[in-house]
Amino acid sequence: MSAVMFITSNGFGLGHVTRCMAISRRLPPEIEPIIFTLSEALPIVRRQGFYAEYFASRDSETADQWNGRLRTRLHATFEQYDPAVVVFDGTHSYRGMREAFDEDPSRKYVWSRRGMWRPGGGVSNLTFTSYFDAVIEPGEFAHEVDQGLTTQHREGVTMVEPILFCDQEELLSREQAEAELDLEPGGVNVLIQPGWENDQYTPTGTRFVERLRREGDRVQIVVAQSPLKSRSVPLPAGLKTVSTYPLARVYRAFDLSVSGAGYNIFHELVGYQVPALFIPNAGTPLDDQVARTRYAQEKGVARSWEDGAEESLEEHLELLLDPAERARMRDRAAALSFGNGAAGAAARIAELVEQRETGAEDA
Amino acid sequence: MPRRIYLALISRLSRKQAKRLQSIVMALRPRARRRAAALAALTPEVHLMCIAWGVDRAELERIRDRMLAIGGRKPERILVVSDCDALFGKGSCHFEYIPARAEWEQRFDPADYDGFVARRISEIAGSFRARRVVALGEIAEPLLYGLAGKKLGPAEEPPALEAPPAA
Repeated sequence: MSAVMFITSNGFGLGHVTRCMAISRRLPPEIEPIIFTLSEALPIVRRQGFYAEYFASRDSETADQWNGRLRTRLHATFEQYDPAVVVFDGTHSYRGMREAFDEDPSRKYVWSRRGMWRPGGGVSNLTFTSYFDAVIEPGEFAHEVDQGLTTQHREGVTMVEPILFCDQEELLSREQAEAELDLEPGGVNVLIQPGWENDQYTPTGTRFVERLRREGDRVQIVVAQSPLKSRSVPLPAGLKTVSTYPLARVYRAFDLSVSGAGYNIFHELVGYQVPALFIPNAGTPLDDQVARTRYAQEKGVARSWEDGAEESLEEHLELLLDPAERARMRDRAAALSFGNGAAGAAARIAELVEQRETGAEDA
Repeated sequence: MPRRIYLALISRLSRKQAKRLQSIVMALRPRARRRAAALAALTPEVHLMCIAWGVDRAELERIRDRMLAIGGRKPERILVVSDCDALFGKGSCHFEYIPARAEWEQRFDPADYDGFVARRISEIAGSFRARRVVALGEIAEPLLYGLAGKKLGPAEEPPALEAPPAA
């Protein structure tokens, strides 16, 4: 039995850890995945059946102290579990992690490096590519409009399709999902999930709830609460909430979603053909969410609400509450559908495991 | 070498070439290396390390609150170590999770678990330079062996404890 360790950074939501779990699920049975996470999602990882290690993000320590401890811990876990391959999913590789890699060149180090970086951003991140033996790039639906630096550094990179936790066949049917969420059949079901990194979560979510409530009983609203304890937010009274993982399992219950535009949520909604009004976060350090959602609107698979204005909100919701328009969006999304890149990424990692075990090198 | 030129150059090199350049730059900056080594030697210090073993979430949070009260409400002085994954939020005390026995035994040799935990506890105590250590809950003594100052190698198991002499 070989081991592969996934190191996930501590993003605002569940993106990094979800991609690693998505890949882990598709590794061959003779490879044991170990998730080494800096994320509060540790309990979620364990509940999904993965073996997990945890290392808290820096809080009161200095950067040198924290990186020193990280290096020590990684060194100990490498010795303990002897992973053939170590995969890092994040944009900025930690100094302590790089030092641990340097001290142990016997393993294969892989960077799972998502694209769609904001134009000009991430220059220093790319200088650390030399610490990795391979790079895997999870695909983007909006790859045609990707203007980030990663597009100029793709030599030798393994490109895969967008990575999703669930395959289509794992989603519950509409009837099953409605039953699980205790929704009345026959209504228009709306899922609100403005995004955990969005500082405007509560006021934005509240605006949508108030607007949709004016449609009367025909519209049933469900608000997604983050399964991360620290991210739960207060909401208007009397709302149905859902806090399950993976949330995508119940997506077929919904006619439309009002959603943040992080990598995972975006690709799940487009990939599973749920018409969406995306609210891109223009303030992320590196993720070009605006380009992502604008592209989706141009392709007719979703709407993008960027200006925060009441007029445009009304315009978008008018369209999305029209069943004919939603049907058109679903058809467009089906025509532009993509596969699940998690299997491709798992295959590449399995190949690297074999190389390390046999001493072979990449051609 | 100005940082701007260094970054522009390294982004154009192959992985092997970039790694070589990084090594050369580090070798040419001994003062930076010495400083980095001195700073890296600094480890955080906690006044109280509490190992809370085999407890549930509610009990772990109660233990944390008691430790904070003892530590004068200074979360940076307290470290809680547990096989329970009830994480504390930012601004709370330091927290270290050690994988629980049940999960270990599903995947790895059950006989190795005690040694693994003993080594991990020893590493944590060393990393945090804990002044005092308290163990609460159902923790077997061999798991604490590393705290006695004995260094255990990667595959080394703590020795069986001898029975205390008869009174």
